[in-house]
Amino acid sequence: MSSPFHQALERNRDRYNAQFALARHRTRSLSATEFLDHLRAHVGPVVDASGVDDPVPLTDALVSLSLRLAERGWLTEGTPTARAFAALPMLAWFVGHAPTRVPAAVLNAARTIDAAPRGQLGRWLGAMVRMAGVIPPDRTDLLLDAGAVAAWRCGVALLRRSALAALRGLPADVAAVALGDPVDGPTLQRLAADPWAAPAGGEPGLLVRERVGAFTGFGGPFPRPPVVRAVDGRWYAEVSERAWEVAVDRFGWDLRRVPAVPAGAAAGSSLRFDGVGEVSDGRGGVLRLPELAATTSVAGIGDTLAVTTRYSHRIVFVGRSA
Amino acid sequence: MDSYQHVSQAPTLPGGAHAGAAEPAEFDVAALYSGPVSGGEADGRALPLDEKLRQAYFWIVNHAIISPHYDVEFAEGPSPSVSLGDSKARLTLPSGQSYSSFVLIPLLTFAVRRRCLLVGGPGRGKTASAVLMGVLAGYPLREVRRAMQHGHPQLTIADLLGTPLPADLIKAERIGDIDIAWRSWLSMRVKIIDEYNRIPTRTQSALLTLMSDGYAEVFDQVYEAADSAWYLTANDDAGGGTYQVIEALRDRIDVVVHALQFNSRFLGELVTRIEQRLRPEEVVPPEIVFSEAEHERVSAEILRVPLPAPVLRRLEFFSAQFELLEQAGEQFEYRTKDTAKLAGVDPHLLAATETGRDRLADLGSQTLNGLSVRALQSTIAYAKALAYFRDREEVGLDDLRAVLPFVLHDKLVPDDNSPAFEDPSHRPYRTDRVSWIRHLFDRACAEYDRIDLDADDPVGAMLAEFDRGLDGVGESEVTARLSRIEGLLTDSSRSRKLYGHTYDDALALKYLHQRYVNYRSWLRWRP
Repeated sequence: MSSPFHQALERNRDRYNAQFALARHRTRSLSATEFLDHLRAHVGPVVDASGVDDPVPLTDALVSLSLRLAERGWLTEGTPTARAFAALPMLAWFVGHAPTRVPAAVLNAARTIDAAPRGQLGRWLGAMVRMAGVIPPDRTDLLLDAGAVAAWRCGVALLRRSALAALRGLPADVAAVALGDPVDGPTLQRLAADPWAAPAGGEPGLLVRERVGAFTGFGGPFPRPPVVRAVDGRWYAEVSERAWEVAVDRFGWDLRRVPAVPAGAAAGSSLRFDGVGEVSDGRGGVLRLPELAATTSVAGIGDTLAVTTRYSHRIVFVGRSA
Repeated sequence: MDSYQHVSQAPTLPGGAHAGAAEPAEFDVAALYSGPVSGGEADGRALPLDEKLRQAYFWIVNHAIISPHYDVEFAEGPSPSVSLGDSKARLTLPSGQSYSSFVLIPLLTFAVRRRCLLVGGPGRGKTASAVLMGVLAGYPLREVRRAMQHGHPQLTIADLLGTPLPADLIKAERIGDIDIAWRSWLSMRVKIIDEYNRIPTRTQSALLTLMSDGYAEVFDQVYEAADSAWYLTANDDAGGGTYQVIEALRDRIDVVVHALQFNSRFLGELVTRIEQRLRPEEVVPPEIVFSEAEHERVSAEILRVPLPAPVLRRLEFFSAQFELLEQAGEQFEYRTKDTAKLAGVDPHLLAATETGRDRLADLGSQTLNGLSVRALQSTIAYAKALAYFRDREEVGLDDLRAVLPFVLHDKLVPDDNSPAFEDPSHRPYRTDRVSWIRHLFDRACAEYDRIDLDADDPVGAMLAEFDRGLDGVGESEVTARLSRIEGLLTDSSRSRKLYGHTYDDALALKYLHQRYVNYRSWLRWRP
């Protein structure tokens, strides 16, 4: 007896062939052999493992999606979308419940994580597969919320606030997989209060925590050394007329373009900077950083200080963690 | 070449009232999962429906129907134009986003769920256009094709609506006991009648009931059909079908659109489609498919688009031009073309005996009828739909001007013998109804501006005053208002000429006079 995927292909052979012909019409380089390999290796296993009664809607959705991806070259080995697609068979039950939503969400997330400077796509995909083992397949929203938390842990620092909010709504076993460690109420509060805290362990004391940004000539965002500002509890970088919001914590960093640095109250920090390279936390902790001597801007939030200099395109974040 | 599965990126109308959403204030969880990989339904939920409608339009014109015509023109600033040929045919290059009527009008019909007639020679894409609308409604292509009703001389009511179950026909003691196997197409949100002018007259009557009242009746059993978008096609709408279309059925059609000719410069695209066996209707992107709930919502959102008073006033002025026929009656209210038609007299013969008016200037002399309430309702619905489609906050005069020719195409019957058509520059209007109706509207607007009705409209002011209510209005005030009404009518009587809009104004003043007289009687009667 043929598999559900083969039944779907058989029932709609002409239509799928027409779709491929259209795609080929638009993208001459589309290879029939490679596309068939993709269907065989990735689409078929998803359909067959999905447990759906009627395999046709799921096959329709995955074939259409695959064609769109193939036309853009996004099924090429090593691309984040191809890596994410290869993980879909392990999320097959979820894909079966939401044939268009789940694949698109996973693939888009893969692109976002891959684009984050500290993004760890492989680790995130692994977390998604493990979470799929503890979440009922009809709870798509729960899987995606947990996926956001895992994405934060895997380097998408811009997700920090919304991931912390999502984390509060996750069952304990799911949260533990998403964060990589069990998390209870006090841990959650600690994570929210201290950007350098880890669910377990961590690196206490006064340390250089992160160096954010790079020169455009080396693929970074800043054409000139930026200045940093802290407004209403958020970090911002400015270069000439351009501005970015800076997200940074122990899991990673990222920048997001904003029209301008908003007006607001400048935050304060418990850390002190002497202007020539020494940072102290007022509790005996002192860090000497000669690289920060030619300072152009200093901003602080809580136990973190951000410093820029005229000779570097990076923003240096120094933080104290308990 | 663009992708067939590619949907135009939003916003499809930069600068629209709701376009240009700013960067979100916060990078949210949702942002992780949104991006260029589209999942169909998930993205569809997030997109405003007017944007989705525009994406559907652009997908159809870019990939499905080869109709490189931009005959629904909009200007945003000066639009250059050139005159070509001996006839000095003017070709305008619109400065605003303009549209192909053959795609736009069926799509608006889909959105407002009304009735559209597609006319044109065979093989011009009428049926293909209607089928695409069925696919946009989310029906599988095979189901759309199966549900399409093909007009032919043997089509019976049972073929069209449903058949009684044979066992019931034998066993039933009362007609009400006979169950009907209703045809499945009756429940669909998009209904297609191909070559409707080949349907026998009796079957047309059953179709009329379904189209106009939304139900079908067979053997005393009634099937209530949901609101639908209807598409009827005809190769020759000028009576070339097998059967004459009954007037009531024709009148139920809200809008008529022509399948324009194929542009030979686009033959290459056809060749490619043939060679590669491409059938765009089979690969409509899920992003532009409307669920039932979205279809409901888009209709409701369209109805909420405001029609501002200045635009409404111009529509009133335009529609007032056509009904008056002074020679048709003796009593003032009966001096209409309708009176003549009901008496079986050709309105043109009576119009020819009129001497007071300038028949070249009088727009009413160009038609054999006036506008029905149904025609005006259709006009308003389509004007709102177009404003919605164009992402406008309210209906503009340009929206109204754009839809009028298609809505009134079969509603306003030209008097071919009118002297207005003798002018060499107006002769094309005998055959080109779209341009003729647009010309009529432009003339009406010019006249409206000439008499400066936006600034000086005493009848409008009196109607507005009455609309504010009569609470607290005393007898002396009522008497003053009655005097003003009589004064306005006396002023009008000094002019020898009666035009459509002054005729309607006079009747409106009579209405007001009567309401005030009744109110004054009540004031005098009450203790």
